[in-house]
Parts: sequence; structure tokens; C-alpha cells
Amino acid sequence: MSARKIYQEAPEEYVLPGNSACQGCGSTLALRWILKALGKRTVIVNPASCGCVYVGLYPRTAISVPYIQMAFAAGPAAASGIVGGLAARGEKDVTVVCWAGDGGTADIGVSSLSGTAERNTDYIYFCYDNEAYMNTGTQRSGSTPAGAWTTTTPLGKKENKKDMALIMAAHRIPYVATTCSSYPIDIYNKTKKAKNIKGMRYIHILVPCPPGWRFDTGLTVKIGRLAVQSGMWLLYEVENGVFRLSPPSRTIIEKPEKRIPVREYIRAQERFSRMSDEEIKSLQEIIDKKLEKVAELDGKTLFF
Amino acid sequence: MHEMFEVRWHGRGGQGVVTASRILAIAAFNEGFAGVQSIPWIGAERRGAQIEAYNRISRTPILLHSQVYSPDAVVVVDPSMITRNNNVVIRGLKKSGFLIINTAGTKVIPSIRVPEECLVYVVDATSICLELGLQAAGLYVLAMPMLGAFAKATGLISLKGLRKAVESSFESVLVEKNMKAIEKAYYSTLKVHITPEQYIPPVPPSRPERIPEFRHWTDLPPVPVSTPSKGSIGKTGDWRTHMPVIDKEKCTKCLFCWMYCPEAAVNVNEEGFPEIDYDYCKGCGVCFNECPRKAIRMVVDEKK
Ligand SMILES: Cc1ncc(C[n+]2csc(CCOP(=O)(O)OP(=O)(O)O)c2C)c(N)n1
Ligand code: SF4
Ligand code: SF4
Ligand code: SF4
Repeated sequence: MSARKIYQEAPEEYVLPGNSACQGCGSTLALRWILKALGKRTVIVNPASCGCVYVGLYPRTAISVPYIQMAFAAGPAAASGIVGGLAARGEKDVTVVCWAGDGGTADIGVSSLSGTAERNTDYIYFCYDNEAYMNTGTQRSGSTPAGAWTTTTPLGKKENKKDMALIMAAHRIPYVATTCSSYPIDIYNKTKKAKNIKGMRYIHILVPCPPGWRFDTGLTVKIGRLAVQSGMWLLYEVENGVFRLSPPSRTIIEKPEKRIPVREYIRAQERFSRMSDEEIKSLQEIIDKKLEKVAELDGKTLFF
Repeated sequence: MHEMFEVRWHGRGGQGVVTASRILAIAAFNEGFAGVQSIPWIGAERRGAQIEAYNRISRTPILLHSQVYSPDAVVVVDPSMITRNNNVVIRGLKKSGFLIINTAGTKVIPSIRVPEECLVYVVDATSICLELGLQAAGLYVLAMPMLGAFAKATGLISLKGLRKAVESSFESVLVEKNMKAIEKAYYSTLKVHITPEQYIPPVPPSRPERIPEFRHWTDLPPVPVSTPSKGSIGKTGDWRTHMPVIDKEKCTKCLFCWMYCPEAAVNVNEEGFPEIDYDYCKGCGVCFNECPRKAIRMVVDEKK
């Protein structure tokens, strides 16, 4: 599908301009496309995060669907309550969404998130992953990749990134997907698909963040694309347990000549400036191994 | 100088206001002031959000630790705050205080209102930053040259003192660039002639209101519900240094710019051409980087 075609299909904007997000924010770009796919009959619950800021201050808001700001750990619980409330009122065509940052997802909200997955609550959970606690000025989260500078890992993080999407897939919910704000059409298609599935759905979106990752605001889309084209970030779906690579990631696995050295991704951002050339080399080896494994998984059932 | 000199900075997140205020405090200390303070006030850690910072400078140690409510000097890094609501920046400004503004032309001068006997100074900090490429993480650090303007206008600190402070705050490669900006501003700061009509009665300082005490839940105000609106934080203002301009001759109406704009600031007109909403475009440059036809140029925002 081309941009023109989607424009004809979904011209409405639900994330209004003149909001308080930073210039070049990957998170608002992703939310724009999710709401295009979901349409007006959507309720969003947003635990404490950048989202709570760029939505705006009372009495005005930048998001034109109901948007409820929630305490950090309580996002999924609140969404659960809304699902119950809508069911009690007999409203069937409303999509309930939890929109949360990686800190709110991988660290603080993980318990109530896991609870809703266990109960297969009928809502979509979106984690927008800017790989740190950005709203409070870039502190490391469980989702920050190894090597990255944050204010709490000034020498670069030592631990690996927590793989939230696979953790969610292990709950055996009907739909898990990963995507990236540099691929709006992928976000649009996956969200549309998720909209029509019943039960708990989880979509994890990598969103580059210029101030937190330290790159020029104009490069938001390029950096996300480098993450995918280098294999640092994978796009896939796990539908009823079956793992399937999405085209951009399948391409770089099937055609290694299209793969971009991870060095290009790393060196494009100041947050990795502490990483030495050797460290990047060993990261490249890790990625190459990962991609080999992932190629074997494509089309297979992950958990049973 | 008698007793204590208080400063209030007005700018936006990402313009270096907090850093500049810190450097001013260090510089003042270097000049022999025994009591110095630098206090940031940040509503949300967001680029572009309106922020304030405060300084106190005194020959004797300072025991006061509040925000600055009655400044002796106000430094305005982003002049769009003046055209919108002058009262915000001059609230509490002392009679015969200083108002120091970053502005290129003379356009904002007629709209300036100050208490009697105030001295108004202007400097084109934006052009200085553009010329020297004084950027941090993709944004122009407009507050740095304002230090030079402050030194010139108030005579409180010297360029030498500023240099020492800059040297202790930045890596050596950045020292010269910052100092050049500060010096350039110092020598190009101009005093503005203010006509008698521009003097207005002092605007009282705004102090935080007391939060009312509620004894019973029925006394609580209704749940605040915000209304969706474009420009929930107002127009982009001088936070944008560059703006995208579309060349219709080269444009093929592919709408990539519309698709990738994180701000939803690209509209599509009846002929299918993209049109940028300059009220809210933040000048991030994503559309410039993503246009496959190179039909978009980033030009210095000429509205200044
Ligand atoms: C229990 C609790 N702890 C801390 C905070 C302060 N806080 C608000 S937003 C935020 C960061 C959220 O990070 P993340 O979930 O990654 O979202 P992002 O800000 O990156 O969008 C923090 C620490 C809070 N609101 N509640
Ligand atoms: S800090 Fe990052 S994620 Fe948050 S609003 Fe700014 S660009 Fe977006
Ligand atoms: S991306 Fe470039 S070619 Fe495509 S519609 Fe926009 S300006 Fe025109
Ligand atoms: S510069 Fe950024 S905000 Fe402005 S139209 Fe282009 S993509 Fe949108």
C-alpha cells in the first residue's frame, strides 16, 4: 500500500499538530498511525510517560479520542476496567488501548500487564520503546540496550535489553507483533489486523527519540530504518503462536547483501559514543548469530 | 550593586537555558560573588516546552531558596514569548531592571512593555548560533550567546569570568565555539530606545496559588476533561530555526512527507499537493530527509 492510498483511506488525524512533543518525536509518529488504523471509536489509557506530556495540559489536548492518564503501574489494570465497563454497557465497537513507554511496560507495569495477558483481556497493549525513561530525562530502563548512555548509565549500560515481545508471546496471547515508527505502513497494517482479533494483543514499537538517543531531529525516520536494516531491531508477528518475519526483516535475512553493518546504526547516535570498535564488532557477531536463529524460526510455532 | 541581584530566564527546552543559567552562576562565583544560585524550573522534560531558570547573585551568602519572583533582570531566549504575552516575561520585573531579548529585527520592539526606567537590550543570538553552528544534539543553543548580552547589559560579570566558567563546563573542543558566540553577542548587544508609552505599571509577581483543602469528596471539582485542539501548546514560535519549503515543480505528490511528519503538520490540498502548516511545523527536518525527490529544502525561518 502506498502513502497516497492510505491518505485516501485514512486522511483523518487524531494526533493534532502543535502538541508538546519534541521535534522529530518517533512516539507521536507511531501514535498517529495507530489511531489512523483504529479510528474514532478508541479509548486510550496512558500510564505516566512522554505521552502524558505531549497530550497537552488541561484544558486542551492534542489527541482527539478519549485519553486517560493513569498512574505508572496501573495502565493495564485501568484498561481492564474500561473493557469491563464497556461490556457492561453493551458497547461492542470500541477498541481499548493501553499506550505505554518501555519503562512503564518492561519494568513498572509488567506485573499488571502480565495479569491482563493471563486473563486474555480484550484490549491492545502498545509499548512504544524509546529505550529509556525519557519523560524524566533519560534514565536506563529494562529495555535500554547494552552499551547505551543514559543519565543512570553514564559509561554505557552493561545489561542486555529485555525482550518484552517474546515474554508476551510466551503468555500465548492470540497476537504479538513488533514494528518501528519508521515503517508507518507496517504499523498501520499490524494495528488493523490486531483490531479485528479478540483477546489480548501486544504490539511493541521501536521509536527513535532525538534528545534521548542524541541525534539530529531530522534523522528520526532514518535511524529507525537503520535499526531494522542492520538487524538490531526485528519486525515480526506471532499469530496464535506462529512466528513470522515481516518483509523488511525477512529481506535482510534472505539477502545478506542488503544488511547494513550495525556500526552504521551505532555511530549515527551519540548515546553509543562510549562503545569501542571491538564492542561494535562483537555486537555484529551477536546480531549475525541472532539472524541465523531467527531464519530457522520463521513460520514455526514458538510456544506450545 | 546592592544586596542581591536576581535573574529570570525564559526559553524553551533544548535551547540551553538551564546550562546557561548554571554557567552564569559559576561565572559570578569566579568574579568573587560569595552567594550564587542557579535554579531550573521545568514543567516537563520536553524539548520546546516553555521553561524558566533563575539566578541569584550576591556579595554575601544567600539563604533564600525559592524561585525568583521579582527579578532585576529578565533574559528572553525565545522572543515568541514576548509577542504572545508580554506580561508573562515581565511579571515582577523591578523598576529600573533589565530586559534582555534575543531578536533579529526590530519587529518585537514596539510590542515591548516594561515598568518605568527599565533598560531594554536586544541581541541576535539566533543568527550568531546559525553562523557558528552552535548546536547540541541537533538544536541551536540560543541561550549561550545570551550570556554575552547579559554581561554587556548589566556589567555584572566580565567576559573573562564567563570564559573561566565555560572552560570548566565544556570539553575543550566546545569552549572556543561557545566563547565566540558569547563574545559576538557581547559586542553586538544594543540598547533599545523605549518610548514613554511603552512604560506600564509594574506587573505583580505571580506566586503559586494555595491549593484549596477539600474535606469531603463531594466538594471536589469535576474531573477535568480537556478538549482536543490544534496547537494545544500554541504555535511553534522561535523554537524552530529552520523551516521546510516544498518545490512544487519537483514534487510528485507521493505524500511521503505527509506520512512521516511526526507532527501531522503536512496537509494535502485539493490538487493532491502537500502543504505545510507553518503555525505548527516544528522544523524537525524529517520531511526534508524523507522526500525521495529532494523537493523539500530547509531554509532559515525568515519570520524573525
Ligand atoms: C511510581 C512512579 N514513579 C516515577 C514516576 C515519574 N515518572 C513519570 S514518567 C516517567 C518515565 C516513564 O518512562 P517510560 O515508561 O519509558 O516512558 P517515556 O517517558 O520514555 O515515554 C517517570 C519515571 C511516576 N510518575 N510514578
Ligand atoms: S523525549 Fe523522546 S519520546 Fe519523549 S516526546 Fe521527546 S522525542 Fe518523543
Ligand atoms: S515527499 Fe517530496 S515528492 Fe513526495 S509529496 Fe512530499 S514534497 Fe512531494
Ligand atoms: S519539518 Fe518536521 S514538523 Fe515540519 S512538516 Fe517537516 S516533518 Fe513535519
